[in-house]
Amino acid sequence: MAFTFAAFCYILALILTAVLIFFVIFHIIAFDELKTDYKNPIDQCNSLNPLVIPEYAIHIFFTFLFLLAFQLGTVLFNMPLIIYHIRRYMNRPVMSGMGLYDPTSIMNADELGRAQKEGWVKLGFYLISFFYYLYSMIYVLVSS
Amino acid sequence: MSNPGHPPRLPVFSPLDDIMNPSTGNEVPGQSKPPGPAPNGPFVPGMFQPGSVPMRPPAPGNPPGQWAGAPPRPPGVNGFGNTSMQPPQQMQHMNAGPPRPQAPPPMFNVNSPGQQPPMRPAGQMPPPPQTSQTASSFMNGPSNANMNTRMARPPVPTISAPSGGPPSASQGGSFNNTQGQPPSFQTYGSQQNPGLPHDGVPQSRPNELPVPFHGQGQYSHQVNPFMQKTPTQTPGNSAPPSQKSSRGPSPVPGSTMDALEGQFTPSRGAPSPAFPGARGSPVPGQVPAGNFPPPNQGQYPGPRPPLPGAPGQVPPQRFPPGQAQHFPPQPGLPPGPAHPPAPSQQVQPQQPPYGFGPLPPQAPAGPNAGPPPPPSSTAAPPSGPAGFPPVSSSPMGGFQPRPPSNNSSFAPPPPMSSNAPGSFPHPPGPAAPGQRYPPPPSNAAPSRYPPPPGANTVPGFPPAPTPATSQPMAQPGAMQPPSQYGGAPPGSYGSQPYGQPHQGMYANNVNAMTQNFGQMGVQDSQRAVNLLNERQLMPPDGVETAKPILPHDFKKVNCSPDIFRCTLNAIPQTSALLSKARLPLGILIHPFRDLSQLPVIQSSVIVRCRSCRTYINPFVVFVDQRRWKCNLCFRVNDLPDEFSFDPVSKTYGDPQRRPEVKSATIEFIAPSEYMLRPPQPAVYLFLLDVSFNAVETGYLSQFCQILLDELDKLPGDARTTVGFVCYDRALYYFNLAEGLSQPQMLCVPDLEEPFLPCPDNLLVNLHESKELITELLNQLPTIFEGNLETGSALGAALLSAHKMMSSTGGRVTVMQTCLPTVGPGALQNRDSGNTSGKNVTNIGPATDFYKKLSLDCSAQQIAVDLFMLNGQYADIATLSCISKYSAGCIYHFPSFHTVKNPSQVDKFENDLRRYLTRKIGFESVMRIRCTRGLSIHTFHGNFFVRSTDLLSLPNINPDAGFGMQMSIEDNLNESPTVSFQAALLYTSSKGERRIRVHTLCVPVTNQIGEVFATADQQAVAALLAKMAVDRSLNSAISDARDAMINAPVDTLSAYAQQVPASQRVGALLAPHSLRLLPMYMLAMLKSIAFSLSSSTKTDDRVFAMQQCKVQPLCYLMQSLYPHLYPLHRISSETPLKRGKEEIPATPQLQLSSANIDRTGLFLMDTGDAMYLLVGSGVGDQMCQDVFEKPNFMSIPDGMIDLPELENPTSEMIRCFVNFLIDSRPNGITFLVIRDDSKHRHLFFQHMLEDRTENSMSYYEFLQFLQGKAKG
Repeated sequence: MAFTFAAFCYILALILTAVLIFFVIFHIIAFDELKTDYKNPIDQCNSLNPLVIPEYAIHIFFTFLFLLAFQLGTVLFNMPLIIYHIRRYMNRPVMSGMGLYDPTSIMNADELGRAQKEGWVKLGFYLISFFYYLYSMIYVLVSS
Repeated sequence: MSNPGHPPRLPVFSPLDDIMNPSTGNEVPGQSKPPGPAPNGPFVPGMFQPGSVPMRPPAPGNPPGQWAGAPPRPPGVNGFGNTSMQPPQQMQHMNAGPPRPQAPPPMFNVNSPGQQPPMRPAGQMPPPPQTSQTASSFMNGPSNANMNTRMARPPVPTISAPSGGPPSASQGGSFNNTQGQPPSFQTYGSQQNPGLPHDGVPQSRPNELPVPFHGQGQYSHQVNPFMQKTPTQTPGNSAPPSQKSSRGPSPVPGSTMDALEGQFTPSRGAPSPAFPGARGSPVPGQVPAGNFPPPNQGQYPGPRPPLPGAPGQVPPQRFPPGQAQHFPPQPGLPPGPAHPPAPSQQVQPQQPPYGFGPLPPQAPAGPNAGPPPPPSSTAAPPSGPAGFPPVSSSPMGGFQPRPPSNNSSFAPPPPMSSNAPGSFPHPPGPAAPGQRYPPPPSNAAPSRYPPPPGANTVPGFPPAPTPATSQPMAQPGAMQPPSQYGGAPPGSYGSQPYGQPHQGMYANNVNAMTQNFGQMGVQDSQRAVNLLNERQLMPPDGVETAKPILPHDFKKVNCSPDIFRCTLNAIPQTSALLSKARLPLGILIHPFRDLSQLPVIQSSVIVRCRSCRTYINPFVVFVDQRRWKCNLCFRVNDLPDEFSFDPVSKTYGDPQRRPEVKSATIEFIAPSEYMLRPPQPAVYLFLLDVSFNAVETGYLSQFCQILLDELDKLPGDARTTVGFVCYDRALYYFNLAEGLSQPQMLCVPDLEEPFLPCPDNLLVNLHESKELITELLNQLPTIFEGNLETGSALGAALLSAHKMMSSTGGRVTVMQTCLPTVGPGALQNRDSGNTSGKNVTNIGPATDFYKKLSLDCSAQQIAVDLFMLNGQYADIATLSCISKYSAGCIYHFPSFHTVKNPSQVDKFENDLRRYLTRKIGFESVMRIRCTRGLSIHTFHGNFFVRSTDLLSLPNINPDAGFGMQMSIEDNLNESPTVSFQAALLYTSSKGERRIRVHTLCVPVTNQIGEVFATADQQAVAALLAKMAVDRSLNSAISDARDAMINAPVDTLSAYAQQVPASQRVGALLAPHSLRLLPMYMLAMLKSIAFSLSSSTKTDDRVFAMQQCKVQPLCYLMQSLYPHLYPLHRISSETPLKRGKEEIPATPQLQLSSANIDRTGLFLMDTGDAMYLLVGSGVGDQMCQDVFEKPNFMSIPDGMIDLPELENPTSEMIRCFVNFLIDSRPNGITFLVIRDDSKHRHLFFQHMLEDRTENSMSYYEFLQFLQGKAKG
């Protein structure tokens, strides 16, 4: 049992995934508030937009670490989400600041529905990742 | 309550602030870094020196000195001089000061007008008597005319008394005494008595005065002297039928903004104790007369002397009678409730109102309550009437209502009106200005609508064609079982036209269609049409209008299809059924349409559902006399006592007699709980492009001339404020402070940090500075004549406009002639020439600068309207964002040039005149509610969506249309009908807060056949057009085109499955109700917005798309599928009726060249252009009769008018053409085209059923659809 770089990556990913889970929960709550009228879309977009890039960056960061650690299986596991993130960001509405959400279009039911669905799917993904990393970490620690 | 989250954003004035430190408000000028010269960083001394004030492009004629030197001011001061002076003024007014805590210059602008008096040398002040006066004066001002009457009456103290019970009785008595005035007014305390004090001063504007609303709970019914209850209509604001030019004034000054329409405002306090008694006047707080600023003062800032607080001495609850009479408005006002109309000052009082919340409780609660006072309240409304033009004519002056003659307060008591005691008396005259209730116009004629569909029909489907159609008015009433309406005299209410523009407005066409529809046989509507065989699909008198067929027991009038339409007039019960029918479900609404008759109610209590906040409407179910069941959420609510109380008989009657329950379109004068701040004044700022390009087009002089002409007709009251900013590469501001001898131009070349060269006086009171404004408008064209600067700093100009107006909100009008190229918001020319092929690019914005600014504006209640006069690419796609999200409107005059393009000049003039004078609503919001189970999917139009069902509309204008796609979330099996309710809360140009409510009721069905049979093809096509625009912007035009083709394919295939197979063979079947759908889709495919033609300019395309989103249904359909008339066949045999006039008419033709022959005259009406095609074989006699030319060859090409000749043919044609032109709000370009002209394509490009090089003919398109349907 040795503490390898891979093990370190898994531990770090475990922590960061927990952070991402919080992000995504915040995201879900925010859209739910929008849907139920509790928040003004401008305020809500202002609070959500700054979180988009950090979330993507964190995810890409630990995936990159896995690549360095040569955990290809894990990298493959994360690739679809990274690709989705990049595409999503490329197709964002015209805006000068960072972020994805435009207060003028976010209230469209399609947009809201999509954002909410995205939130739930990502929550599921991160939860699965979390346990996967936990398992992998132990596996790496034990096996090496 | 859901609102809590959304605080309205009213930045500037929060009442609280004022309250908190009243003094600050006043002091503003002094304190916050007054704009003293020194403090302003930006002000570089050099730049502003008076002498130097750069008149950039020096006007040749003017010696610089003129502009520059505002004479008196010390050089350093420039603009600022004023500010320094201000403090004193304010001091005087003390509290009155505008609440703005900070004295940032901009804020003052608004105020300044009011304050101005101080500015002037004392001697000079032309004090309109009222100006300086305190609140009382305000109140009076308007009412002067009435004064006498009022004086006479004893104030009605009773009302205020809490117990209230007695009041009614007393009221009755008192009222009678009082020369017929509605007692109610007085009752509410001194506040209401507006007019007392200044007898002497006649007000110049009668109309304005009526300050109806404030604070008084009035019932619409007022007691007349005759004891009749008359519902009055208030025509007032409601727009008089607008002819092309809307008239503007809405009568009542009003109130506040609020944000959430109708939602409960969180009640901050319980209803103010002060008013406990006053159930009747629930809203006492509202503005007392005080609201009306005396003409001069009007400004926000205006010092309202009578601060509520001050007067506060008076115990709120009761007003000593004496006081009441006198009007010391202030005293009388209970501090809390009274909303001073005056914006800021009155803050204190206002708060209490908030507390009130919409709680019904206040009202009547008293057990005694017997007759709720409200009824008596009639009075208050005066304002309403005032608005109406007619009123003014009346001797009474603005206040007609008060004149003894009308008993019902405003309603002109028509003596003859049916007086059934129990019933609400009708207003006699149809149009009587004063009336508030929907007046059943005595003459039925005006209303063209068919009687409520339900009337005759069997619950089941096909409604019998309503026979009544032609005589709608009379019949409906008659048909109704008397029982329903309680005592109402038959016909009285039933017959009311609900605010429809019968009077010949542009609605005529539609009305005509409606009639046809009524006459159409039932079979027809259920028939399947084989499109391949039937070529003649268009009825000769236009497409019929589909209307929902309501069950028999709803003998009620549904909302006019001109205002509110649903794509499906039978809503599928489940979403599965909807998707099976493959039709879009949505509603199209034209909420602020000019109406000739609109019931206006000023009631102490606005009855709404306690859970979903729906306004009571004709489609609710009365469980018993005291409870009603909401038709949207199905909650059972209690009915306030006042609602069913009949002041005439002093008994509780049938609530169904109330106008709220009798009319699906109604307007309430909102009490204070609907205001988040005092109602804003009308503020207009004009941003004028004066770059080389702009000057070259010559628009400036035309604009100035038109504005000069219409200056007096700008909608507004005494507080109306205007300002001007010109821009090229620099910004030019104009100091129009009252007292200057010349307008003073201030040039700010610094674009990066736009600042205002002087804190106020850039926006000035229209009435106080009228001479300066007139002079400025006269000089503007010369000042910039010969300007060679080509840059255009639109972005910087908009930023400074935002700054100038952020304290009040209002309307910014931008005249732009080229691409903005300098400063913030500068754009690149990204137009690569033709947008060709399958890739149409650049239809989306290039930057979000304008969008963000637009959202900022929206938050400050500023709307930006854009007039694009560009000859070259100006990136409308990007610039339009400034209007899109601030609820502005956009006009486009491609290649405008006063000399080179004369046909545009007329259109520009007509549009601008209409624009300047049409009705306007400020700081508005619109909420759409629908029956549980439905939800709004997407909104279309210009606005900002603030929550799932709330649109924020800084301005609302009568030409704005909206669309909403709906989705079915739950099965709709709880009720046989569903309803949609649109409630538009706005501040009228008179400063009155109003709520216009439209309710549409549509039956639910579980039969797919019924869904098809009742579909509204025009609404479906219009909704598809809006969806296609979204698709184009989000994806690509080619995707949108595919969707447009798929829509009819899907629908027709779905329909075909409902038809026996034997009929299907070789046919393309469509339900009769959707027979035109493929044609409309083809028209859309060929329209400028969606065609792939390479010759379409990007700007034209983007503008056309924008129009698809915002045009009301009938105009949109006309622009998609223009009307074609064979003028040579005109005759008076089958005339169109407009009012009493009969207009000779011709049948409408389909747009196929097969219908064109060379011996005729054909008129193509596209909505914003008319082309008259003269066939080459036209007879010489016809040429002589119509054009005064001997033969075809001598008719000049490019005529833009028809000569006025006195022969029957010419008269009939001109009559018809003028009728068409008058029936729309916008201007048109008219062009005579000879068959051999080079402009021939202008006409023939609209022959949509023809084949062209790259598009299919209609028949080919059908075959194509058939192929797709099979494949």
